[in-house]
Amino acid sequence: MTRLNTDLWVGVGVSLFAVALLVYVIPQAVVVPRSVRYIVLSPDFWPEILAYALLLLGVLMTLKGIFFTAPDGQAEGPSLFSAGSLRVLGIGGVFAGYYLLIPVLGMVWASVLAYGALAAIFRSRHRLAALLVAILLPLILYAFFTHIAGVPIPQGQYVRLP
Amino acid sequence: MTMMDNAAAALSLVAQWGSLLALLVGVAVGVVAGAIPGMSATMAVALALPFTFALEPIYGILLLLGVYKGGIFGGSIPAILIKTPGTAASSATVLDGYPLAEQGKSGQALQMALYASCIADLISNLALILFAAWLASFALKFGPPEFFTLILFSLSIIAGVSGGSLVKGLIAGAFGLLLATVGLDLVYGTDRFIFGHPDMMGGLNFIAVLIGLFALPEIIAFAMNGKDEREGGVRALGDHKLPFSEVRRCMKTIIRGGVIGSVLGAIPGIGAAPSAFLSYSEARRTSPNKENFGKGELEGVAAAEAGNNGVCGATLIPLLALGIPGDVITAIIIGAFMVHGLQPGPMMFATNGDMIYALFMGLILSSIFLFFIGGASIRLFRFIADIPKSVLLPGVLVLCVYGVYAVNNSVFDILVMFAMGWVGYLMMRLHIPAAPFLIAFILGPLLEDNFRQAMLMGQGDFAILFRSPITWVFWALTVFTLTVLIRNGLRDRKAQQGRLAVANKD
Repeated sequence: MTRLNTDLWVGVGVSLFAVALLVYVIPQAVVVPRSVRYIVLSPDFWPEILAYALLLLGVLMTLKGIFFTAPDGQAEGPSLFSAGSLRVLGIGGVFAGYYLLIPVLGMVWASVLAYGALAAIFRSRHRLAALLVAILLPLILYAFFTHIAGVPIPQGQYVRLP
Repeated sequence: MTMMDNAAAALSLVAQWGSLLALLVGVAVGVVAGAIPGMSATMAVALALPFTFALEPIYGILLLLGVYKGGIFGGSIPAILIKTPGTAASSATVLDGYPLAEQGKSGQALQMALYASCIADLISNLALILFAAWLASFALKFGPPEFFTLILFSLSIIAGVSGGSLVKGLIAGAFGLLLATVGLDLVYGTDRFIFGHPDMMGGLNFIAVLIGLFALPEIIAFAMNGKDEREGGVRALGDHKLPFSEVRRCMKTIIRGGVIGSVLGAIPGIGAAPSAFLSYSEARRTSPNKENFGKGELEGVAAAEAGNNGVCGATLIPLLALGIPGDVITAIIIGAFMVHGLQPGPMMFATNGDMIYALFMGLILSSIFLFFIGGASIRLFRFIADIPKSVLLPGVLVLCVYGVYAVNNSVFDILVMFAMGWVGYLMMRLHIPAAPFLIAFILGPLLEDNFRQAMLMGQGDFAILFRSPITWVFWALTVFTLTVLIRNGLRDRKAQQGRLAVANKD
């Protein structure tokens, strides 16, 4: 898979996406009133134009990928499954956990945990600095947004901050 | 209000401790952020944006402009000290800055970078003051058809110059326009791509899309690469004093760089990096010391820095006069205007003239602040540039989450930001430029709104889009730009094929 040309992958992906838009997504997700005065004013006119443009560009990209071999360094496809992919999966886990923990622990403590998890994924050698920043940064931001900017930062169900 | 009334009102806005402090803090934050490898000026402005919501509009916008200017200069510090440009715009500074650092003259290189930045910045600000009002008065004659063709022209430039591939730039732009259609339809009020989710009725939050697209991919990419990689260590400052004779010798180059930056900056989509390289190549072509370029020539540093800082004021010309962002950073700044209830464009000169003049004054002041802050903190830079990414990037994530949440007090926006982070990372991996995506996302509603208004005016007849000489000029410019871009693309492809054929022969 990684041997394939990036342009070809992009072209095929964009073309398929455009077809899906035209065939399924736009008819399902764009509500068109029964009486539209001019077709160019219809809510689905603009998305359809863009979908056709994407289809055209996708086909162009596919043809470019088939008939033009990129020079060294660009010919390889996206190596999404290389050595760092586990760490990238870990980042996905941190993002998901961070989002889900905000309503439970509150933004401050979710941030402390997310910072720590990310520093661990990055295998930081500066553990003390990371620990200090992990605790202080969310607290300082909480103080700024809550007490200066007047933004109610979400509090958790367990520990509430003043 | 007359011009003098506006100027007097503007002076009262700027001559406050709050304005001066906002500008000072902005420049300082920008210089520090720009000096940290991995923190681009774009990211710094994006992260600073949510902190301006609680401020008065003038304070908030001055703070962001300070971050922008400081960030562009700050990018030259790691370029000179550790051969790692803090911003893309500083890439040309590496060419002579790092060789100078190797010769023990990094202090002189940094001083030259500072002088060139401040002088070019001043030239750019003057260009803004001279041309923005004139362009805005001209733009008052525009109706929806004229605005539609103008925005289309801007999009054609942006899609073309933002990456190595025109088709990929256009794909990114089309995706940006498509994402901008999410929300309630402006004419009929019906749902578009909402999927029954009430949070999406107002469309996707611009700040969440922006931060997701520009800050998070850096974090994910760092996880993929795994370690702080640097070519060479941090250089000592060495000889710190820059003789005035050197500045005088390079003055012509600095002024030329400032003018190049002002011209290129005023054209939407060009940005600071091409300007820096053009200024550098012009300096090398005309310099009596051309053989020293690339080996450690102070004039090379001056040319590159004058070129990249010369765009700072000029990119605000299309923003303030036409309401069109000149680059990604001004696209973020347009968001700040909107958050504070201001709509940049020709009408702003009539409705908020005092604010426009206050910004002009603030920009001039920012050049002076940059001179002092940059000069005073040169010795601190090597410590700033040394902040490890494994400590910095988790902090960036936390800042992103707080910042995005603060815009609408919405946890849903955080989800949008994370999703856009993955989109941005995928685009990075597939070499699809993110800038056309973002700018199209911002211009999309304007483009569609003006198109539909024009169609209403013309009762569905497309001839309305060709109704005046102004529309004809923009159509011609769009066709011309696309023709040039396609021709250049084909020429580059031929050249690449030629190189491949030679390589295969060998």
